[in-house]
Amino acid sequence: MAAMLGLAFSFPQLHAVKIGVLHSLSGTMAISETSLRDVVMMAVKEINAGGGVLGEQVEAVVVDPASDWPLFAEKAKQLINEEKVAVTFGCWTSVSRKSCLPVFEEENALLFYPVQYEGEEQSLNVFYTAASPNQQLVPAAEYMAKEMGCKKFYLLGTDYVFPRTANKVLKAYLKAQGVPDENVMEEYTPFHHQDYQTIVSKVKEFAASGDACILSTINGDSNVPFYKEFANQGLTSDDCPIMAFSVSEDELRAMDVPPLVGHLAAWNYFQSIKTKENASFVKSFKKYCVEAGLPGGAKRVTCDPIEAAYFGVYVWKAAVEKCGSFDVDKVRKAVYGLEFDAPGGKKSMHPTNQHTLKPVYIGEILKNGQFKIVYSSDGLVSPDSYSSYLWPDGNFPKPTGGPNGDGSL
Amino acid sequence: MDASQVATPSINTEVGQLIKNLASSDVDIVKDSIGELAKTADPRLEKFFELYRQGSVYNWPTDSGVVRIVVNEETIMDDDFNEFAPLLDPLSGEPYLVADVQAKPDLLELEDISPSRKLRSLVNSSKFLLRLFSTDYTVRLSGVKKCGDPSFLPAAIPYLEEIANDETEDEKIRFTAKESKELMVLSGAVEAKKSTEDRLFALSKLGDLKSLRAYARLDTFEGELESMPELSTQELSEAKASISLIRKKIQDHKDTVELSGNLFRGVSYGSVLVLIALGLAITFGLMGVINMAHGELMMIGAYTTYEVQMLFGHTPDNPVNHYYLAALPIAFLVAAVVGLIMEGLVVRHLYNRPLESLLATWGVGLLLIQVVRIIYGDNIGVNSPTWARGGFEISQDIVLPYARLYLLGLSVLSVGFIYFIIRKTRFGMLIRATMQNRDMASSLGVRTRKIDRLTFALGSGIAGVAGYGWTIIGGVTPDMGQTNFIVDSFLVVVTGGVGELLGVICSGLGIGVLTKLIEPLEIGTFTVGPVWGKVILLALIVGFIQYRPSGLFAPKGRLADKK
Amino acid sequence: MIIHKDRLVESRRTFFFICLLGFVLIPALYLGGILSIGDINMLGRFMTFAILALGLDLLWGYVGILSLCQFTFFCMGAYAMGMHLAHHGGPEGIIDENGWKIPACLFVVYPYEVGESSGDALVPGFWKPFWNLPVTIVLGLVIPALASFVLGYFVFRSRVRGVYFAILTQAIAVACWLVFCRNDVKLCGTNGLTRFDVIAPSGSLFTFNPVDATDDWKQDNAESPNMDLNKDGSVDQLDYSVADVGFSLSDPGVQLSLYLITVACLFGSYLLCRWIVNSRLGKVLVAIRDDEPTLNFFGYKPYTFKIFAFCIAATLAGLAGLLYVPQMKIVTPSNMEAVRSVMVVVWVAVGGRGSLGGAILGALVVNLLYNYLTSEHDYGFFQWSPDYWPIFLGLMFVVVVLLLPKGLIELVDRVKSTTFVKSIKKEETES
Repeated sequence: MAAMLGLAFSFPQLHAVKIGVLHSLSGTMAISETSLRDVVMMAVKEINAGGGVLGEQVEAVVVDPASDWPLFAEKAKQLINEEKVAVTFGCWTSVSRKSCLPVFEEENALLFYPVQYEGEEQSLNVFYTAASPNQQLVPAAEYMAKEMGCKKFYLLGTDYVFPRTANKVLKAYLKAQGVPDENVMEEYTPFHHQDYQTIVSKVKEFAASGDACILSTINGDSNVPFYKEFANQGLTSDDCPIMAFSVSEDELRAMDVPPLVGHLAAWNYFQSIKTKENASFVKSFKKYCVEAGLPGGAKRVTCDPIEAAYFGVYVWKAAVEKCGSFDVDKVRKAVYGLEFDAPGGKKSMHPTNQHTLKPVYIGEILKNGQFKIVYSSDGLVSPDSYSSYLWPDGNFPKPTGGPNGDGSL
Repeated sequence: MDASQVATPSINTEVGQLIKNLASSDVDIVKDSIGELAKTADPRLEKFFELYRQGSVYNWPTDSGVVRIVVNEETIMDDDFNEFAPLLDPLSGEPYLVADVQAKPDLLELEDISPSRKLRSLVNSSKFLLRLFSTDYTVRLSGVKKCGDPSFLPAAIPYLEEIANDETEDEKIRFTAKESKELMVLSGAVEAKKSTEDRLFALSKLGDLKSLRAYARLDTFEGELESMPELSTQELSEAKASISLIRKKIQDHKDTVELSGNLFRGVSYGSVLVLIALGLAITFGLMGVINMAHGELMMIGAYTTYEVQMLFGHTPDNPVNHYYLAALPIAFLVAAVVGLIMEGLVVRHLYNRPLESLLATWGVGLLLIQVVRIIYGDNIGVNSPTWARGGFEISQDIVLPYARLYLLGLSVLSVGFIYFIIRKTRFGMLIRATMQNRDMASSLGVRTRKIDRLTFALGSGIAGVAGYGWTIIGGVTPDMGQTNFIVDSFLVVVTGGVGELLGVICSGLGIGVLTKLIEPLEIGTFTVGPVWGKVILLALIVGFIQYRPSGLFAPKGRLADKK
Repeated sequence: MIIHKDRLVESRRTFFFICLLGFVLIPALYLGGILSIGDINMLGRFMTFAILALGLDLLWGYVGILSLCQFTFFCMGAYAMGMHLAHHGGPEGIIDENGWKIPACLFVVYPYEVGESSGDALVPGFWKPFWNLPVTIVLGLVIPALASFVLGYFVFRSRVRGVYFAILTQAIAVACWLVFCRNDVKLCGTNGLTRFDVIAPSGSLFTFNPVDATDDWKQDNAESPNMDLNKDGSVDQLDYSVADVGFSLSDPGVQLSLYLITVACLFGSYLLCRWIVNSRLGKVLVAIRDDEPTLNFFGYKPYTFKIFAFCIAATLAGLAGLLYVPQMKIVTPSNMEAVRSVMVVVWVAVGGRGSLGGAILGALVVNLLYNYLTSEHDYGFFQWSPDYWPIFLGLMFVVVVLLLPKGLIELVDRVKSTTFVKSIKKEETES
């Protein structure tokens, strides 16, 4: 109803295909998600400048789910039913995706989801363009154990689903590597936790043997007090390196970086990847931010989710052009196995499981908030929708959604 | 002569040649060069090895293919966002000059010569060895420590002994050197001292040192002994007995460290709570306004600190530390002015309707959050002054971080300031008079409106100071007030007893210490941890309020007449 | 402090308003094709918020107790229904060794002990009563009632009042939120309960566990060609998504029915509240708000009345939660963040504190505005950005508190009440 009121004020464009942008612009998640909205808008601008898709201009419909999970479902419905979008790009947190997933499945619409998450999901109505756990967690733990020689692991996270599942995968991996249980510690803090004194003192005790590391899934604003306390109690990356799974260039922009220098993060893309394509991507993103007058301007940086959101639009475009139609079922089939050039290098979509084949990088944090890449995987790593560490028998659940609503194609 | 050689004379030395060898494609040459470099004990090389390990050392070959070893850590961008790599000299760390200006080639011109995975650990250990000769205290300390951590560096033992016996050396470094040396023996990494007796002897020395690092290895060592076939049962049980003796010795030390650590952390957390609740103790406690925008006033203080930092141009590389002192009064003033405006527009209509003041100030809070979010667009990073990093080791293994000490001082100061104003000045007397009996005060000629305004501004200003202090330990986001402070600060004030300064101090410190004592508790296999700690604490407070509905100290002031 | 006296006797206006709008006008608009089923679904959810607001209005508007944990009670009902629906939910999830299905939302985040693997996961015991729909409904109402009784008993007896009570309840809301976010309490952590499929399959009405339900279904369908339970026979338990039983939550007819049930419940809650307010009991409640010490002096025990009102409000919140979940199809701990409960206060304040109709009006208006103003709008002369919503909301708080202390409802019936207030004022001066 409210959407109809809105419709009355919008001006219909001829020969335009609509796409939905479903990222929070207010509330707690706005800090992360606005960047993704920006980069999607940039991709749309580029595509339109290049003649659009199948000869049609692309019109982006932006809504604000306001970091409110039920509102994600509401806005998704509005995009699909009222605005008739061909595809939607959006969501950041798992719970927001879970909240609007039933809508996409019922309406058989398509969502491109650009953020690394805990896996354990495979809906035919979603393409996951960021990492599944085996494309980020396991290589990072392997790096710590083999290259850094760590024997003890402190799994520290914010208490929500991604860290819980991530640590489940990590524990299973470490167990398989023969790390004894007493050498693995696990600890969670509430959202927005600010006082890390006790935890850091525990870490200090744990790391006294000199061969320990932290695998951190601490989220958002808790990172600042954590790293500060870590440095203040006299610990350095030599004493106990921290491998973070949720700290990217965009987050570092908002942090006091010196206490973080020398610590690590694992992603599938860094702004510091040295290729011509990436240099021009970074350049055009910064230019776009300056020209559009966005806050931050030239100080804006690219990071893994930004790249994933960006190439998601191009994957959709390529698939539409491959099948010559905007029809969801045809586009879906065209996406499977698609190979494409992303800013971070060549990547491809998995032929069946909705996820993306990506390289894995590990970077060391520099003073300027960028990463020095210290490890890169040999070629692309294939994604697991369901972790083989949690489903050792390989008897994964069936996919869900799709044209028939039951996970069949 | 080649231009680069003129610019970097160090390259011509023997060290320079060894460094050039690192660009070789022959792994053996690289390996030998690393070994040779480590032996030079050249203090300049420590930093170089760190950069080399990280992959920041490049070969920038001339057109004729002459090797030029350069360093580039961070890239820069020009106005058109083209990326360049400003180069540094590998040894001196000075800009790498070509024709008297720093060379800034395109990144793609540089050739990556970072060590292969097989050589990484060698580079790492060479780095730690070289740190022993550094002139920098913290670098030397970390070198002394890391030599004794796995994977051990027996080659460092002679140097460690030298350091340990050097009377002129710092106590902490000497201690760590001894510790590291014995730890290596204990772990069986020293060829000459591999016998069980030697290792047990090392352990007893470590016991005398009360080494926590040794404590972390006891289990491994015991397990190793058990699996040694050459030990007789008698020997094994003797060894075990001495291990458990040492374990007990260190355990006592560890318990003391933990207890005093927990107490300090509790006091420190408590002081933060007092600080964030202090402003509220005035606006809510004295005046009876349920100021839900209290957290946002703190946020204003924090953002003011950020602006002052920007104004002074403080960055980690180019510290202007006195910005932080200047920000204190400015944060107070800005928050006080915002409070003054808030009072004039909204709060003054609501002095008799406390529950409605809750709603209206919540609305003001939302408004402030979103305005700040629109202006700054994002959360921002306040760079702490450089002196706030690190801590002060008051006795062995008890470190008091400077940032925490500063906050402790700040909250003592703020409490003192408020106490002084309220108890010792005429203004404070008028405040008390107005809050206790407005009509009487008014009839005696006190301009109660003005007092209201100023009192509210005072409370707001103190909230701003709390936000300012917060930047040194925590993050700054537009909604930091709502997510982090508002519930906690109200709980502190309510628990302490509304309207009583002493109550706020007692309850703030009480809650702080209690939290830090509950958090690390272990009951069976269940560790309380921060989440349950917080839940338990909230439950305790709820229980406490049952028992004393008006808090530790009974309320005085405006609220007492009302409810 | 005598305010809102004119509202002591609730008028019939709201009564007709609910009937007309809820039962007639909106369904008619839907059948006429003007409203989509999505809109109906959304309005249904906002009606559940109206039930929640009614409860708070009774508590705050009439008794003067401000509770900041109403959404916590709401979530008790919502989680009860959530667990129920998850039991009968979608095809994902695995069967544990006792024959219970661990729903996907729980399985993904199942907190294993060290050394356990996926085979060791079990449906927790406290989930089991929620298999049965009638039991779920009863529990969804009783749990919040009981919780509020225990809390109210201790708090009101020790004479915690006003601001203290508000802060206390907010602390409780935070504590509960933290607990529900934990994975180890086995309530699916922050992702919450989701992947619901059907409501009211016969197995949920007459049986108490999946084994009996499967047996029943086998008996009933002995001759049916669908006898192969899951077509491939991979799981030997009744899978509702394959076996065609129950009412699919994505079916428009079911959604419309849920909407109508919600309106009926709102209507019933309104009648209940009105009855309470208009009875002698209601007068005691208002007396507590206006002058508790005097009431005490007259020999009443105010705390019993307070507990009563608190329990009613909590039960209504539970009811709202029960109705909300099948329409929203997900419930997460974010529903019980402290901010949410403050929002309920806003609805009531905006609509009109101390007026039952006002509470309903406030809940609907604020939520509709929220939904509308979080999209971009181009009005030609002015570009509305979703960024402005919090500013708008903040201003609304301030304006309502300062300029419209009796809320929107005051605007609606200013004409009517002027005469009424005058007569009361007259009485006052006379007495």
